[in-house]
Amino acid sequence: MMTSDTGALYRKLVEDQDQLFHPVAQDAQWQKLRQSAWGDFMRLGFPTTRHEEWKYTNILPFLQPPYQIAGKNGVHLNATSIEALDIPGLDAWRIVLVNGVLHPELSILPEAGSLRVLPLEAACGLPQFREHFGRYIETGNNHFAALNTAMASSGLFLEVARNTTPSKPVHLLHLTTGSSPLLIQYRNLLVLQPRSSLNLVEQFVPLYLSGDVLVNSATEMVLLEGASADHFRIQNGNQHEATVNHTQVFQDASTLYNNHTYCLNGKFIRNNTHVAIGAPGGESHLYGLYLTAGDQLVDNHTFVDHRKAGSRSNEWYKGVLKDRSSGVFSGKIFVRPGAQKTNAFQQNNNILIGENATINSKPELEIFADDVKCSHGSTTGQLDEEAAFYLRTRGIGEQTARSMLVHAFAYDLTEKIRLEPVKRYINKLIDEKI
Amino acid sequence: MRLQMLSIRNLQVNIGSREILKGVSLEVKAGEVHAIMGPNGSGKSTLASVLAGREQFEVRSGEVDFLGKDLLQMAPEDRARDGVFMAFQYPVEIPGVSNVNFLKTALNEIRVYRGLPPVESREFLKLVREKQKLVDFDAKLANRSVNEGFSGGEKKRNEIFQLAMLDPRLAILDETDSGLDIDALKIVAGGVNKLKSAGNAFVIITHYQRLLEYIIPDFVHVLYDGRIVKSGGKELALELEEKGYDWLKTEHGPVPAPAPAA
Ligand SMILES: Nc1ncnc2c1ncn2[C@@H]1O[C@H](COP(=O)(O)OP(=O)(O)O)[C@@H](O)[C@H]1O
Ligand SMILES: [Mg+2]
Repeated sequence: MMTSDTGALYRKLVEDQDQLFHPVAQDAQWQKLRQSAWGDFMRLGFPTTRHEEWKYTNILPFLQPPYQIAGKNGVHLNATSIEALDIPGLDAWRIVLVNGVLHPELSILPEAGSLRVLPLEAACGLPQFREHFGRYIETGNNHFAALNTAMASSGLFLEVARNTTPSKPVHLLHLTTGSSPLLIQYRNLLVLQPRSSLNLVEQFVPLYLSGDVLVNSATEMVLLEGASADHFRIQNGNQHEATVNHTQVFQDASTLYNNHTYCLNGKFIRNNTHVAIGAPGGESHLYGLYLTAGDQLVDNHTFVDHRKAGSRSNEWYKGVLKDRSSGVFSGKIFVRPGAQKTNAFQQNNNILIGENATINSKPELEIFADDVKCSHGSTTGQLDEEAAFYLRTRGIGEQTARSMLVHAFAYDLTEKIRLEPVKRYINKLIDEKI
Repeated sequence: MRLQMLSIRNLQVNIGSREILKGVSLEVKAGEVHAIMGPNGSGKSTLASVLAGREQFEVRSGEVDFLGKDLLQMAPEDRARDGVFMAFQYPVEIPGVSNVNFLKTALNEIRVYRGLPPVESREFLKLVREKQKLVDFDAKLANRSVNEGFSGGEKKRNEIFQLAMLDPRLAILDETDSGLDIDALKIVAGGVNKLKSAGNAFVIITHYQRLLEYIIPDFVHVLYDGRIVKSGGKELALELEEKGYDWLKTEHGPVPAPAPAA
C-alpha cells in the first residue's frame, strides 16, 4: 500500500534519484547516512493530514509548483544589498548562505580562534563532524528531515571552541533567491564545545525572490557540557516562500539553551523545534511569537525531551492571527522514565483578530516519571476592545492603539531578549507587520 | 457671552433592543461645571460613554454638537484630540503598555493634531512631574504598565492626572469619587479646582452629593431612567442628599429591571 498521496514532487525525486545521489566529498559515512535516510523518505513520502503531526497542516498546495532542485552554483548578489540586511547597531560576524550555500565573499567571517566556520561539505573530514553529524535528527518518522538528510549537501558547519565566547554575536543570514520554482535544501551542524557560549541570530529573508520556493532545512545544534546559547530565529519570508525547518538541539550536562523564534512573513512556515536534554542540569527556554495575516499558515511543532533527571524547560509561544490566516501550535513535553526532578512548563496564548483567522493549539504532556513538576496551558481570545477604547479616548489612533496592544501581548517574549539591537529590530519588525 | 461648548439635543440611545437614554438634552458652556446625579442604572455612564465614542451603543436619534462639530460622527481618538476627555468609572488595566509610553503617545498625537510639535523626552518628564504635583498623584509611573497594580483610589487619581496632562476642553468625570476615602476625594476635587478655567468645562457624574461640597457646580441635573427629570442650581444637590432618590420612583415610576440575559 502506498503510504500517502505523495504527488508529482515525490515521483520526480524518485525518478531523479541517481542524479541526486552523487556522493558528497567521497565520504562513506555520510553517504551511508544519506542512503538510509533516503530509504526512510521513500517509505514515508510527504506527509498528509492523515498523519497526526500534520493533522492541521495540509502541505499539498506547497508541493504543486514544478520545482527544480536548487544546485550548488553560486548566485551573484552584490554586497550592498546584503549590507542593507544588517541589524542596525548589532556588531556581528555576518555569515551569508544563499539558497543554502555559504558565500564567503558576502560574509564577514571571524578570524581563527573562538569560531570555526566552514561550508558543510568541507567539514566532513573533521572528527567533530564525524562524531555529531546526523546523530541527533531522527529520520525514521520525520518526512522532511529524512528527505533533507538524504539530499542536502550544502549548509554550514560552525564550531565554538571550548571555554570561549566569540568576540561578537553571529548573524547568520539565510537568503533565498530565484525566479523559477526551486526546492532548496540545506543542512547545518553547530557544535558548542564544553563551556563555550554563543549568541546566534538566524535570519531567513528572501532577496530578489519571485519564483515559488520550498525550503527544507535542517539544523543540528549540540551544546556540550556547560555550554550556553542564545539562539534567535527571525523568519521573514514572502508570499513565494514555503518553509519547513527542522531544528534538533541536543543538550549535554549543565547547559543552557534559549531559543527565540519570530515568525513574521512567508506563505507557509513549519518549524519542528526539538530539544533533547540528554544529561542532568540542562535548561531550555523556548520563546516563540507568530504574527500572521493574509492567508499565511504558520505551524510550530515543538518537542522537549527530558531524558535525564534534574533538567528544566520553559516554553512560551504566543500568536496574533488576523485575516484568513491560520496557526498551529503543538507542544509536546516528554519526560522519560528516570528523569526525576524535571521542571517543565509550557504556555500558548493566542489572539484572533477578525472572524476568519484560526488557531489549532495542542499542548501535550507525556510523563513517565513521578517526581516532576510539569504544567501546560493554552488560551485563545480577542484583542482587548475595552483597552483599545481606553487608549483611543486618550487621543491614540486606532492603528496605534492596536499596535500598542500587540506589542504589549508580545512583551512577555521580547523582554527576554538581552541583545538590545536585536530587541529593537524585532520590535520594529512587529510594528511593520501590524 | 460664554462660548457654547456642548449641546446635546434629544439623545436616544439603545443597547441592543433596550432603550437606555430616552431623550437627553443638555447645554454646557465654557467655564461651567455641571453635575449629573441619579441612582444606579439610570444611564449616567451610558451618556458619558456615548460622548467619549464607545461603539457598542446604538444612537437612535438626537444630536451632539461639540464646538461646532457633530461629535457623534467622530472617532473616539478625534474627539479626544479635539478636547473631549472622559475619566472612566472603571479605568482599564493594560499590562505590557507602559504608563510613560502611553501618556507620551497620547500627548503627542493630540499635539500633532493641534499643529504643535511633539514633546521631547526631557520636556515630557518635566510635564509629568509638574502635573503629578498639581493633582497630588505620587504613584510611581516609570516601569509600570497602565493602571496595573494600582489600587482603586490610585486608578481614579491616575484619571485626573491624565486629565491634567492632556488639558481637554470638556472633561467628563464618571463617578470619579466612588470608592475614594475623604482624603483622596479632597485631592481629586483639589485637582479639578486647579484645572478649572474660563476656557474649559466639566461634567461631573456622581452618585453622592459629597464631591459637590468640594467642587461647586453651576448646575445640577438629575438623570433618572434615561431622562433628565430635574435641573437646578447647586442647592438641588443638597436637596437630593436630604431626600435621597426614592421620591423619583413615586414621581416617575421605578427603573425597569435590566433585561434578562438572552
Ligand atoms: N454593555 C451593556 N450591555 C447591556 N446593558 C447595559 C450595558 N451597559 C449598561 N447597561 C444597562 O444600561 C443601564 C444604564 O447603565 P449605566 O449607564 O451604567 O447607568 P449608571 O451609570 O447610571 O449606573 C443599566 O440598566 C445597565 O444594566
Ligand atoms: Mg455608572
